Amino acid sequence: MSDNKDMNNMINDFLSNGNVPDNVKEMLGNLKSNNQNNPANTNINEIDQEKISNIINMLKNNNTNNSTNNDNSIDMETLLKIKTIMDKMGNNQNDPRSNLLKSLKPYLKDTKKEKVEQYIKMLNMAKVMDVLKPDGSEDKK
Amino acid sequence: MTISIPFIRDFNFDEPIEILGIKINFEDLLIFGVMYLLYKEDVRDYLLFISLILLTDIGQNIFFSLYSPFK
Repeated sequence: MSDNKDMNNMINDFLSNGNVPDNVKEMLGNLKSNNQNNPANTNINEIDQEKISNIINMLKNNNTNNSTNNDNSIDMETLLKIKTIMDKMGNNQNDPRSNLLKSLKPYLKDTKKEKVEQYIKMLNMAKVMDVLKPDGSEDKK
Repeated sequence: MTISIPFIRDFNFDEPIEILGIKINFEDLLIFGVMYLLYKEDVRDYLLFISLILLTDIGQNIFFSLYSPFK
């Protein structure tokens, strides 16, 4: 409400100076009369402006929070995933599947020995794929 | 490689054994035995089973006849 009073005073001062074209005078007069005759509209406008500003502030805060949270979570998640992948790739000696295939190796022909190595690599890749699943769950044996 | 086992003279491990008209190598038999033991021990690692099947000649023939790109 105080803003409207200030605005009316400014319009009055502006009109009293005299160097204003007639069209502008009419427009300012209409604006003044609208403000004085419809205080309800001004209240609604004020409320709307306040609401809009509040909503904008909330959205801004949410956006900033979400962006910071997302950045942190993605970083942490990716780091954890990379760590687990590296651990799993490094722990080939403790993998019972690859150990079993390696133990069978001496009893196989030379052509199959090469295949054993390929299958061990495949099993390791499967382990990595388990980690990269979207839900992060691993097959329990 | 030949090993003399009592009652089984000159068993040659390089030659395939014929069981029910199917020729099976010794190494395939070994792998099937391992698979049976794993199954009995309730190991449900399908990738391991697939890799073991693919190591056998019979498994390879069946797999590539099923999934051959030149069908």
